[in-house]
Amino acid sequence: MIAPAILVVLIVAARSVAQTPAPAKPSTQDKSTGSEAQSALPALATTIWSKAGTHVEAIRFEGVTFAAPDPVVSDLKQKAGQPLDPEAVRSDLRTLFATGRYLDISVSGESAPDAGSGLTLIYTGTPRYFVGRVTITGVSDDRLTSLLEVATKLEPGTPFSETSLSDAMTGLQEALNRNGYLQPAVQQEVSHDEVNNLVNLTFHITVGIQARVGQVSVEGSDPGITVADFRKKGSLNCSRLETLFRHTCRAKVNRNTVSNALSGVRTYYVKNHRLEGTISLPNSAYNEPSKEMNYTFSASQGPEVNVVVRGFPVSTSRTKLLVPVFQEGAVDNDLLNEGSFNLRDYMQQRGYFDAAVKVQLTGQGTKKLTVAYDITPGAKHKVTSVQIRGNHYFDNDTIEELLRVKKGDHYQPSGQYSATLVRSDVASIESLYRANGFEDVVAAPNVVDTDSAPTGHRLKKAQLKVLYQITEGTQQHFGAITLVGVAPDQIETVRSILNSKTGQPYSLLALSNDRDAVFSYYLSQGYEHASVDLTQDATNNASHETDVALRVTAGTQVRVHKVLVSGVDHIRPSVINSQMVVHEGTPLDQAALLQTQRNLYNLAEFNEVNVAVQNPDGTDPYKNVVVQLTEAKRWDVTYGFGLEAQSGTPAVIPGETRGSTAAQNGKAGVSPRVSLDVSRTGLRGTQDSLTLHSTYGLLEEIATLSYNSPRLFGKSHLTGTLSGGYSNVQDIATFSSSTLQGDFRVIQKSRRTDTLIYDFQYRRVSIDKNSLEITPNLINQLSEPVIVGGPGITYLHDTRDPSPLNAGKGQFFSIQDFVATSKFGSGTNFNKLDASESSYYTFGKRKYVFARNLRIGFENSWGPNPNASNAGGQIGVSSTACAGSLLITNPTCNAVPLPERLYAGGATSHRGFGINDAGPRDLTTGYPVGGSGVVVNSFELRLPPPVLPIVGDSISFVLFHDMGNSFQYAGDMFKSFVHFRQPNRQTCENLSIPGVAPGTTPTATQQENAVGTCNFNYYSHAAGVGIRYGTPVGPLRADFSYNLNPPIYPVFDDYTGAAPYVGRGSRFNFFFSIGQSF
Amino acid sequence: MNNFLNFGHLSLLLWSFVACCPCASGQGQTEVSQVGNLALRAQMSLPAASQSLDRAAAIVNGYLILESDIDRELRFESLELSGDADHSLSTGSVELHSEVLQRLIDRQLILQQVALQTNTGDTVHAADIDLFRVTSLIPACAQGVCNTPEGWDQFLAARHITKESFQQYWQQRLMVLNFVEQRFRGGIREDPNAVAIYYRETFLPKFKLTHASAPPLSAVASQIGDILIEQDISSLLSDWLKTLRTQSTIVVFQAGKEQP
Repeated sequence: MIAPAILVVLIVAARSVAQTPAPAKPSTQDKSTGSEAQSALPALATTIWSKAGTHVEAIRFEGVTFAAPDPVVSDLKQKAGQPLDPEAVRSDLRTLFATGRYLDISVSGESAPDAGSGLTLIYTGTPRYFVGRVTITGVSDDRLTSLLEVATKLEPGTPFSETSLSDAMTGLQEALNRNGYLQPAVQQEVSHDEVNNLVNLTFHITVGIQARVGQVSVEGSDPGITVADFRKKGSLNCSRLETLFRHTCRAKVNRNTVSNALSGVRTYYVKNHRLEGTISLPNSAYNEPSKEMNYTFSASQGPEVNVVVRGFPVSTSRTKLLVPVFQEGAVDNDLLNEGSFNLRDYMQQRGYFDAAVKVQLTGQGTKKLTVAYDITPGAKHKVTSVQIRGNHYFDNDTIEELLRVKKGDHYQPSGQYSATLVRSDVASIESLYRANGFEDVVAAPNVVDTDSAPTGHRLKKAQLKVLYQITEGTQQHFGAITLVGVAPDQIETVRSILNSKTGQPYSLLALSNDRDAVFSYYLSQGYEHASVDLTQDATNNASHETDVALRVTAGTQVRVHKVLVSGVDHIRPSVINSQMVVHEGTPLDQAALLQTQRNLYNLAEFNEVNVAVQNPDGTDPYKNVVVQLTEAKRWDVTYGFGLEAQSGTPAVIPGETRGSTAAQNGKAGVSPRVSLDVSRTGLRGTQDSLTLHSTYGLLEEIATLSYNSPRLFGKSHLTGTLSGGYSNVQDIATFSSSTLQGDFRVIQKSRRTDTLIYDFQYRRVSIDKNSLEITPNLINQLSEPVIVGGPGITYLHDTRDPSPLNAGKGQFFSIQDFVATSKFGSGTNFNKLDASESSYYTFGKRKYVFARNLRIGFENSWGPNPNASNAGGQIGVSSTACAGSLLITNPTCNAVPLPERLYAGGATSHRGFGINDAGPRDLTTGYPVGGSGVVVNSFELRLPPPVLPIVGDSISFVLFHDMGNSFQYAGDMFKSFVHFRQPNRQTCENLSIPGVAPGTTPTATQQENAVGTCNFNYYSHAAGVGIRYGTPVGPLRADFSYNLNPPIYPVFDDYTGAAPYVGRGSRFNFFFSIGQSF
Repeated sequence: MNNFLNFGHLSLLLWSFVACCPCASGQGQTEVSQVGNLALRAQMSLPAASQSLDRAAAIVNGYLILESDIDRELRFESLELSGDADHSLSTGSVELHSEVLQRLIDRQLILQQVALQTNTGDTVHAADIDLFRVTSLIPACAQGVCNTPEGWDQFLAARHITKESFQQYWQQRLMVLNFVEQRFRGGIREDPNAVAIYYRETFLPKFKLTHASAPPLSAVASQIGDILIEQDISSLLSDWLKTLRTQSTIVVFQAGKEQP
């Protein structure tokens, strides 16, 4: 023990430390005693000690004042009306300063006019200011603006000082220099919000001219690279494209210039086996007149290093992956040993569990180094079984998920094994059990290595059988669960949060979750400095119980004083307020701050939303919340280019002579498309928007104007849309249609998973007569424009998980009903019901996904059939194609207009057909005409991605089976399930024309008027394989299908002049697009 | 012999006083600036009946050191040296005022390190204070006026020192001692050669000056060893405090400059 007398020495000696000049940043103060003494605070004439016992009449605050509800004042130890206690006043000074609102603080005593009375204590201080809004102007690049905002290191809500400002200016300067702007001009503008103690800063920046790469020189004894090559490999020249247009081009300097140069030359060195090459940048200088940055690099290529692997064939590319000297650019013992470890690990993965690797380095000090890895593979093994026994509490699946020793399978034929992995598995199993109260658990591994078969002959691959024998022991249970430090009025609430209960099996995970839940509760109540500690007492061995205590230190509860919103120019305050979850007077809940930020971002009206607490480190129990918004540009233009590649693309070329069935089934082709969307958001200061959507491509031309109102009638769950537009689409080989449509819809989001859509549609649909490939007798009839109008309702239920783009479980259900009736001005009466249900199941350790989809739709029409013979007495209309029984048997005679019928076939439907190619066909031309019923069922097995060279695990495969069809009548949908072939198939091959003798060539008129007989009521089946390539916006998809039973149909006149023939659907189809098929 | 030993301690003390200038408060992240503008203006513009009683002197990692802390420290220091809490030591001595402030900053840095350690051995309770031992160190208590609790209370009250204040001061003192002992003592070993060198080169020459006969080395080796250990500890402590200062945020209020 040091004698107290010496303590004086120590403390005084320690004082000498304070006298030693520090190597830190220079101070403006003179370090001599004299000048510091002159500028030091003078000692006070009166001390607080001398006023002990004096009566305190009143307490006042100046400079920094407190709002009425602020408990800081009421919690002060020195009270008015009591004798002055120096320690209390000193404690109060520290308490007030700790609130974070003071820059400095003092206390003075004001005596009452009449002697003998007490005094008034006045706490005086300079208020501290906090960073408010930081704005960067004059920079057009949004990315650079974000970088500059970060470079200022000014966080909203944090304490502000003059040093912060100078640091911000320095940060801006450095950030601009790093980005190639060596002569920027930065002006600062500071404004104070005196009421809320905020400082708003605006930095007006003129970036100036961006520097270009000038002279490059390379120093060093043996760089091994010319300056020209250095520039090329280090990307210090302009790109080829830029040089093409301007020969004297010089590359711009940006923040990546130097790092790209260093890494590029290093890559060059590695390619030339100079693995120890070093490159650095000792000097760079800015040439102001030419606005160029001149660089002086230092480079040394070092010795040539060759890495050889002996004893087992390992490819060069694999060697480069496994031996880290290539990536690290150095040859040292650590890296060489790591290479040994990686090679051994690689050998073990291939089944050589006993592999040994030695490394040798030769040629040190010379210009050529050789790193030799000698591999002794040992016998090849295969893990044939991994078993677990003795487990009762956890099932095998739970334990197997932890194991790293794996049995051989198709993906890893040898399995995975090593002594280290076995030890790791034992530790994992025992940890799992211990975390659930089994303190005495023992997991004993037993490994049987068999080199020979029972017959005695040596096995090609030795077999390993691994057994983990588990002795669980007795499980601990929860004993008493005590809450310490919880206020009486919170006990019940906190207890209700806990999942752990007395008597339950012990679980460390449950206990940790409980601690986190209690902690989250206190945070949500505004106790921002709360802490929750767990203590456990397992000494009660007899009853195997563990007593648990949760010790809560709540700290001060913080409430929201004000919510300060800034940056709003156009959006109405009511729109913003509706998204606020944090309010004045409520506890400061961090989760509420985050939710507020999220809600405001979801409005899609703001580019940036910053929510921060003012004075975050202070102990002030009342704090402001600053919400800083940056409105997005209200005009938004989106343009895109895309394409679809598939077979069955409509490709009607009038006059083209063909004898094949390609005309009806379309062609394999690419359909490019461009789109342009223009949106005006924030209409009337609300979330309403007006959007013009346009698409132009080979198969479709669309222009739609829509007005969208996300909070219809002020209800957050209602969205209203009014739209109108024109579309001209050819998505079926039979016709192209143009539609002029108006639509009003209301979307109701009742729950996260459920959506209801109510709409009213009114459209005028017409078919281009020249594109209509049906019997000539009905072209005039069916190309007449039709008015369709009526209400519709749609219900969606979506529980797909994790996302609709790539679901592994859950369900998606949709049902849509539309009624077109003359009561609403429709020219035709029908009801269309279309339902689809998809579900997803994940199984197996490798996460196979089985996906299925079933679509059922039917239409019902009423009223007179406009296609009936002489219907309406139209001049020039001959409806012999629908005369008599043909009205019922000819699918083209369906009363529902062609564009409104139900179709099947295509990338997102039945993949055994081209787009909309399935179902009934015109009995003269053979083109698909849709029907009144549709059933399509799809099964898809989505395989887990294998690890492939180059692409890694980005590619996966699917196997699928689609079946179903479109039917002329809804009643044919289900009874056709049993038909694998077309009923009465031979009638489809009957090409006889009444009035035409067999063997004679019919006339064109005879061909035009001929109507065949064919039944399409069967289920077509197609199987296929698909490839999926994962992208951030969904998988790219290529599907190849084989139709097992394509339809046949009579073709009398396909407008090519060919003689009648029997048409046949395509067997092979392929589709290329983005997103899953369902 | 004891006189010479005390002389050795005193010389160290004097050395420390000599070595105490120049004061450098700009250590590491120590920022020297402002008196609170408003506070100073408030003081200057205070009505005649109003007096400034206390104010912020420095901030050490967020902890406020007050002028009253400096005043108290000066009182205790003079109490120990002269037995009287004579405030005259502090008034008019700006250098001493500044030195005490730096000492308080160092002490606060140490106490913050103590608080980081959860070892209960570092916690000193009021009950640990041996009043008899304490009073034996104060010259003014030599007459026995401090021997009784009542006498002690009166002694403190007469010098405007509150009982709690003294208790806190002494507790901190003991905590710092314990901390320094635990942290630095363990790594130091006695070097017999160093003891002999000190005896030969420092101890004997001092005795020669007084023309007295020096005691043999064997008689004073132990005490010399203690002195050397404490010198080593002091050196380690100094280096450690230097490092601590560079890692800390220290603000010293001064007139005329803006607080960072």
